[in-house]
Amino acid sequence: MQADGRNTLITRSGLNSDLITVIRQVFEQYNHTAIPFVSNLYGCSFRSQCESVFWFVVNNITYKQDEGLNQLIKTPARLFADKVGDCKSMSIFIASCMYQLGARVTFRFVTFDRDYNNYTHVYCVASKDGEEYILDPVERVNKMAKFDYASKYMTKRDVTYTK
Amino acid sequence: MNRKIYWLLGAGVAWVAYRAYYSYKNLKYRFTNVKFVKAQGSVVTLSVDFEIYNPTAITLNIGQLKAGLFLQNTQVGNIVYDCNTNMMSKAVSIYPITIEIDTQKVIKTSWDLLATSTLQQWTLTIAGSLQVEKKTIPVRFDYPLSKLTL
Repeated sequence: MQADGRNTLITRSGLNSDLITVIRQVFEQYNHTAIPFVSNLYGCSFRSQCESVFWFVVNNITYKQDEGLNQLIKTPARLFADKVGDCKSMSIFIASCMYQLGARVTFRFVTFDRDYNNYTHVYCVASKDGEEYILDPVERVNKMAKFDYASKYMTKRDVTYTK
Repeated sequence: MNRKIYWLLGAGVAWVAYRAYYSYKNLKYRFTNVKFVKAQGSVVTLSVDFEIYNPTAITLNIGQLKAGLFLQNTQVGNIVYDCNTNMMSKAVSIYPITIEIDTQKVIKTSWDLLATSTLQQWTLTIAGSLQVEKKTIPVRFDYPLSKLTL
């Protein structure tokens, strides 16, 4: 499915909780658009599926933080078309791919300070048959992306989808 | 004598503090965001968010949610959902759960109820237990179907 390039305004003055709701809505409505990206990964081991999706995002999508108060939440097809996005769009893309591969996916919204309701980062955690991998393409260790790694956080809010 | 009272008072305070900050029984849960998904044949599918909050000072292991689905006290389905997560202090976990109501089953068992009331006047109940550490806590949620928007 190709992105149509349309931008839809959800709300003019959104809260942090609105962002979580919209991320969930976009994932639920558009996770099927990730099927073309993972069609060659069926049959691979779970770890190599996770690694392939993770490195695909790291190598093909440039991280760019949303400017000011304008928060863009992109569908998987739109993110691939733009080749630019932030943690929200990247986590929707990765979660959609892994969900289509039959994994249980968790959006992990985290805070790095004591403001428990102000989630400042999101990434995806994929699990299947007892294996679990952290897929955070934004995180850098010595300026390099690291598979199955995330920084220590103060608290988290998980939203988990099981197929 | 005084020393004994202090010991007793200290033990009481410690017990209250323990219950407040270290007991799995303080785990909070709620069901929110009930949505109609689809109706196919006699089966109506709804989705509901099962949200858990850990207010304690310890990490809790959350296991399986096992519950019955009731319409006007008539069982119309089951929920068996593996949460399988370690919840750190102050963390929140949300599980969107899909539930299926077999309306044929309701009609068969509650024919008399249908004659006197409509589905909109009925209450959907989720009742069961959630595994926390090696214990279980009771779970219950009542939802009047009149609130449901199609």
